[in-house]
Amino acid sequence: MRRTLREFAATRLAPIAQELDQQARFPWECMDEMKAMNLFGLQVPPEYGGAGLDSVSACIVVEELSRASAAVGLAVSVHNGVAVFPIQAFGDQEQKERLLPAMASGDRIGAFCLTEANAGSDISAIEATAVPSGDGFVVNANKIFVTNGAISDVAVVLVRIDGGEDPRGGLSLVVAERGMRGFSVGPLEDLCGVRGNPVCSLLLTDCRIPGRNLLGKPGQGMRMALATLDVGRIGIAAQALGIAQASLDVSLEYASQRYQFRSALIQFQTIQNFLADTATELEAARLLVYRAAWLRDQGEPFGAASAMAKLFASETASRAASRGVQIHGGYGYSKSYPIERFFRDARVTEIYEGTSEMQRMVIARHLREKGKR
Amino acid sequence: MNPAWIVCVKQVPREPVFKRNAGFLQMDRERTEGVLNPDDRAALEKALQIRREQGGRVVTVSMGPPAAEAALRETLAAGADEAVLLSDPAFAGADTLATAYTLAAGIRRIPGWRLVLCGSRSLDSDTGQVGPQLAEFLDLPMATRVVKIELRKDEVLVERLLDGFRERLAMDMPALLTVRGDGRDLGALSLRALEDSFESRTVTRWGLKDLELDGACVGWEGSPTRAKEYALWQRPRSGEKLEAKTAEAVERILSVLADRNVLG
Repeated sequence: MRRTLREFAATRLAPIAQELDQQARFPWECMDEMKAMNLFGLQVPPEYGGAGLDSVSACIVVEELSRASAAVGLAVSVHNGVAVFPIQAFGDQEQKERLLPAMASGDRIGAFCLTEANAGSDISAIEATAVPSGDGFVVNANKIFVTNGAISDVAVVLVRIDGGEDPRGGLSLVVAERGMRGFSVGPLEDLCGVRGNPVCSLLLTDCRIPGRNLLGKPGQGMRMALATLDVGRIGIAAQALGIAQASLDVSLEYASQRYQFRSALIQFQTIQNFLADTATELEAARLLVYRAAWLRDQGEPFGAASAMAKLFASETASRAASRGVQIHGGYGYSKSYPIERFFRDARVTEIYEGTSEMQRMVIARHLREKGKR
Repeated sequence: MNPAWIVCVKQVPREPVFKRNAGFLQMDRERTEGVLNPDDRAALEKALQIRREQGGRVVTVSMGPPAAEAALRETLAAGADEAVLLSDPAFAGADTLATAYTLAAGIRRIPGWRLVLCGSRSLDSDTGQVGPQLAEFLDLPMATRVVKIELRKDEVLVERLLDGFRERLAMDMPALLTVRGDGRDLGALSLRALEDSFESRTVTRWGLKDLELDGACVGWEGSPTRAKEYALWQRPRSGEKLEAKTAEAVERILSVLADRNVLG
């Protein structure tokens, strides 16, 4: 499986990755192949048209895609991890039958909308509202930094349905679909990295969403969103692995080819130390990521493990890319070498799906809970 | 009888690694990642297309070490119905003759076979011999370097791509065809099918005894070929530096390219 992905990534994505980044465009030309490979239904059961993979395999898919293009790895990771997953996990039979097949086939791309101008790490500060009306809701939401936003057909949106006494209660997940009146996407964000992914804002303006598009019950949104993020983090951690690996690959190659003081860079102990540290951290990160995925496959609690994996893998990717730039010297600061792109791509893995600081909070919360027991 | 469209496949090393065996250099297939030979992918694609039009089943056959099973599982993922691995310690070290002899025995055991497809050449040893030798052992009419196949009632129409022209042949069935790929055959595999092919499909394994073969005709014993030496070879590249004004240099580059038939 890794080989199949690596081949696809190396032959189809790698040659255009730089262009996707420079032109900030999505690789539509690869879409048919990506669909045929089941990349949009990684963990969806075969009866809904998915590949039915376990979490470890899904990690390998995202890792290998991200090694060639972090933006494409991100699209696949987010679609599967935080758009398909909550529908699969929290949707009822009717919702799954209605929504999953077209998402698993890749005909409809998914997004997950949480962040707002005044709410991100602090989920409970969500201002988006859903007011019950007839057999559904009238939803008003202004969501920002929506990964896959411009190409999304199905968006899982965190909103507040009248919380009653609790001003921070009532959080709920609803499914908004492209074509619903009031569903619109804003202009693309001009991002530092992962520019091949059409990240943008998503607006729901007096958007009527039928009751059958509510996931779970009103008020269960917080729990479902946190569970979704636990899963999504593993995907982002896998993306970080891919970026770190790619950084190591090009750094190693460059250090072997570049001569200074009549010697290949790799002959210098300083450069060797850079590479050895990156390789070691990368292996450690990989084990953490696969362990989190494996725990999930075993049905064990994996919240702390996925936070640790995401924290360590994303910081590993940033360090790997940063050392890579240093090894490349001036060329590393130029867009003519891919390490410059990896450096920008790596940075965001420490931010989205929960910043590194939030991961530390999650890990510490698990430590405290363990302490009480 | 449900017809079987046979595809012979080979797992080839992604990169060549050599070892010494009794003083002779040989490809070390255990120390390098194995992949499905590109032309064999093309042969498999043709067989799948024949099955779509004619029904029947696609059976892939390979002779190789146990690890070659991975290549056969890849063929299952791509759509083959059955896969057979001819594997036995006695088969090790086979040259093209012993390989063809062993493959022929394996194919004879498959009921209902009507057509045998092979890749024209392998990525590693590139002799192009196994197909023709196999046709001899099975006593079949043969065409090499086939790019197009069309089945009629009892004959097969094929198109061969030769230097600068196409040749069309009508052949009796059963027949053996070696297929030329373009490196893009089969396309991307579905991860679902890939998972299935490793988790729940079976690869039939036949050894020396199952095939009732003479041990002296297979593997190293049955191979008359002894490669004397392998050495890495690099294509000599020579550059030519032009020092002239741009317009003049462009003219000279164009004339050099035209002389070498790079530009028409």
